[in-house]
Amino acid sequence: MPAALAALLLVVPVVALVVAAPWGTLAERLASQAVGEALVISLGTSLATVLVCLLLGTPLAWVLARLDLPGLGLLRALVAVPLVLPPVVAGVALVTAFGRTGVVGAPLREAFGLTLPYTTAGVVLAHVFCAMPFYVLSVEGALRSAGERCDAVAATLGASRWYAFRRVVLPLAVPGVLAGCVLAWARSLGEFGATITFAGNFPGTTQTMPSLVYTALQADADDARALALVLLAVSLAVLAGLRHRWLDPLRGRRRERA
Amino acid sequence: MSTASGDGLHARVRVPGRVEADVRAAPGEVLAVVGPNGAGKSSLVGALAGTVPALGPVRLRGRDVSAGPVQERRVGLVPQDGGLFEHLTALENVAFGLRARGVRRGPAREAAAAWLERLGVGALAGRRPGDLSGGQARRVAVARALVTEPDLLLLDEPFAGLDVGVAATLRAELGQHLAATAAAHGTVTLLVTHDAVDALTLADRVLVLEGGRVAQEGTPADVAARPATAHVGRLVGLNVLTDADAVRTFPPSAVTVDLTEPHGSARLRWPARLLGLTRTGDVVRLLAEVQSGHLEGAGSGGEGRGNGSTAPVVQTLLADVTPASAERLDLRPGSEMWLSVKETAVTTATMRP
Repeated sequence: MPAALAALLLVVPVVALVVAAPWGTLAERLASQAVGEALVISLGTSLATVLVCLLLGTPLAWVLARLDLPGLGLLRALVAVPLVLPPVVAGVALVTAFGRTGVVGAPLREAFGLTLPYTTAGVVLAHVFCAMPFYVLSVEGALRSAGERCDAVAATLGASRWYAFRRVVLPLAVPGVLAGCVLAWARSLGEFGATITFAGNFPGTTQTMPSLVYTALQADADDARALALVLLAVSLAVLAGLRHRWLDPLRGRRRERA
Repeated sequence: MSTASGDGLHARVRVPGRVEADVRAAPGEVLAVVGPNGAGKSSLVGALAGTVPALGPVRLRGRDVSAGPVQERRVGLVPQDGGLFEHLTALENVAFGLRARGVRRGPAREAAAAWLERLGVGALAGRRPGDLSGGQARRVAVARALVTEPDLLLLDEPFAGLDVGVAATLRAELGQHLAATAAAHGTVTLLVTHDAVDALTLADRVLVLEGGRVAQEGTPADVAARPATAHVGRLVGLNVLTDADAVRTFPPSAVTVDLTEPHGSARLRWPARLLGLTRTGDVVRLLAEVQSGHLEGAGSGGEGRGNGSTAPVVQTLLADVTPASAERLDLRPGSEMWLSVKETAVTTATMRP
């Protein structure tokens, strides 16, 4: 019984959304300018988030997986904090750090005239803050399983750390990197709390799809349902994509042989 | 061997808490390292390869490589299951060491193909490790290590996990390659093994590790004839009785089986209980358990007397008898009997402190 209850709890809201969606007027509801802008911002910022994760998160994952430095355990714990932090709290933290009068934000504005809050770049910053931990932890796991032994063998063969990383470690970790990208992307696409707290909800600059759903819900619930349906479709597509990536293809092959 | 290739290997490595060993090998020599699990074999290999932090000098061809980076040691490492890079083909795996050292793609691939050919896996150059059998993967791993012409080749249990037939073929071939490499380049080979056959057939010298220390060192024949540790004794198929201060070894064929206590001079004897028996050809091998407290038989020297105060330890012994006597004595699991052995058939090695 509890199992059935749990299943119902998870399934009913989604089914209700699909059933109650205004299918007849779906096309015209989604054709508005605000929807187009929000979709572009959401896709753009989520892709930018993945890119930042790749460029900055990969080295961090490598440091966590391979180096043996004092304080790394603490660093790993800190990296994981945004995973469990309520997104609104993340937004407040971001405002405190990068806001106009923030610890980093004020000097940044004075020195370069650069402001992050209420800009599209601010949206990306908020998304990176929330999505990067997913990416880093996923890639760190992949780098670990890619094996220190491969590193050792590569080193005896004359490979520098960088050469070994490029030619051995990273290629072996590709499935984990892809999984991390998808996780970070999905997290970014759905991010709402930190974004609206730090970057606001301005159509054309910081209004993402989730923010638009929230706005629409205040005015016309059917509009909100139509938008929610789009996000649901995207989520299902991600899930379907992950099913293949989730299983490490290399490891699968090794098991077959054994 | 070749004097032009310098000093060979002389290392005094220490991995705190793991192993402390003085390892020497002449140029071209094959040194087998044997010992039970946890004896420090892997740590020794890691310390020599430079992949495990260690103290003490590692002199290869007269230069101390312990201070420099791993990349400049000129050491070839073949880890236990080969350790091939799963995402690269056999050819790319072998070419890796040359490419990493700046050899251009074309020449590196040519050299790699030649080495695969030498190891008998030239036709598999395009395959990835996942599509190679265990023996094939081991060959590729050896080729990958040898293509860089290392001064020291480290083989960590190269035949572990292979079928007996595959292992035998690979062992014979590897012997030839090691000899050729030794002659051409003076490469020292260190071979970690669990198998007496490896040590006896491939090695010029054997180093026995136990508890992180060198327990014995010598030619394979020496070590097999006078094992100083129980592990090596069992490895070469001998009975081993460990005492406080000595290790006694004797072959199963020297053991006599009686139903009543035997009388005779200068024999060690034990009441025993038969655990099992297997017939191989004309020999029935018995596995029996004895209590080592009964070790002092008539004529046993003074060195064993101290045992009287210690609790008897149950040990197992092997005895070989003919099928006819096994029948006559009506031996079956659980049978009580007496085992004895002439003192002259027993080799006693005093344990190193």
